[in-house]
Amino acid sequence: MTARARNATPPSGSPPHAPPGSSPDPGGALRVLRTRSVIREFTGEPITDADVDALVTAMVAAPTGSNRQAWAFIVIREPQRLLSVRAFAPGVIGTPPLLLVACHDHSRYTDEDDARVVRELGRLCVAMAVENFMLAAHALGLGACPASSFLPEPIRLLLDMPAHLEPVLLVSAGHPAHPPQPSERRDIDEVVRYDSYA
Amino acid sequence: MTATPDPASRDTELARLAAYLLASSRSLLTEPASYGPIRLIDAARRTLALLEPDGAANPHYNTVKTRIEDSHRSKTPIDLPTLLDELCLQMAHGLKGIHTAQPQTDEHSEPA
Ligand SMILES: Cc1cc2nc3c(=O)[nH]c(=O)nc-3n(C[C@H](O)[C@H](O)[C@H](O)COP(=O)(O)O)c2cc1C
Repeated sequence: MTARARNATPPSGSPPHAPPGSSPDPGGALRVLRTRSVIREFTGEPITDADVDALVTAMVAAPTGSNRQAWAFIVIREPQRLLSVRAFAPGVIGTPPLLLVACHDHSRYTDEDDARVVRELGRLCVAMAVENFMLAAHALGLGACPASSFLPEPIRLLLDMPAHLEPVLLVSAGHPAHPPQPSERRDIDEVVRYDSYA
Repeated sequence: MTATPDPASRDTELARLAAYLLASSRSLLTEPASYGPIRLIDAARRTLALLEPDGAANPHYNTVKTRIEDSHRSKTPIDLPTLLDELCLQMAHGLKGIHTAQPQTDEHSEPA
């Protein structure tokens, strides 16, 4: 059963002006959200500077707790350096032309901050930025895959990173060697309930 | 590969492979045990990829590498015991070709 069938009123996320039953998708944004899936193999084609600009601009448009923006990102495109970083990242399967190192920047906090709460939020913000990056990649016809399996210290050394930057996720990106293949998702009725869990 | 290695880069590639093996080993101490075979399979793929620039490609090794790449792409669960049995057999075929192509000097290869 869909949300709309369960509720007489449209879901609160619907635009107020949307006629019942319609599903506007200006620019195909929803299609981009629905059709992204990880790409782990890439052609050798590099990503253009214009595309890199579009990716990083979308990335830093992500929401961030208290607008703190306690993040920092390193875009690696130099092939030899990229291959050395990849050697310490078992979760990066393919050989992408671009590797993003998405970091939590601990220098952005003040002494008065409730370090525990704010710093936990910081990792969430980095993850949201990474999702924006991957969705932008998909919208541009590129592919991407996040990786949490990597060793931060060797990567920090290879990239001359200061101690206050904590790598949270790596993202490989490039031109897909094959079309995106959607992975299985649990049934939406199993994971989404409306108004109460009962 | 996006990076075309220069002729002197074989040592670097091997060093990166060693780094990959060490990094995998370290990561596996805190990752699910089921990742272990996957990392080793990927190490085999990375090793076989190093053979290609020399033109040393053997069809059996290529088959193994391609099948590993296909398995990375698969969105359905892989039957690892079957896949690994088949990959090992394929590697044995590749290696057998070397033994039959070369004169046998090893005492263990003498007929019983
Ligand atoms: C936090 C996080 C960490 C991940 N780490 C890895 C990783 O180390 N290596 C990898 O190949 N994929 C990694 N993935 C990708 C997932 O395997 C992938 O998203 C999942 O299989 C679902 O596929 P889909 O994104 O195509 O729908 C990670 C995803 C997330 C969200």
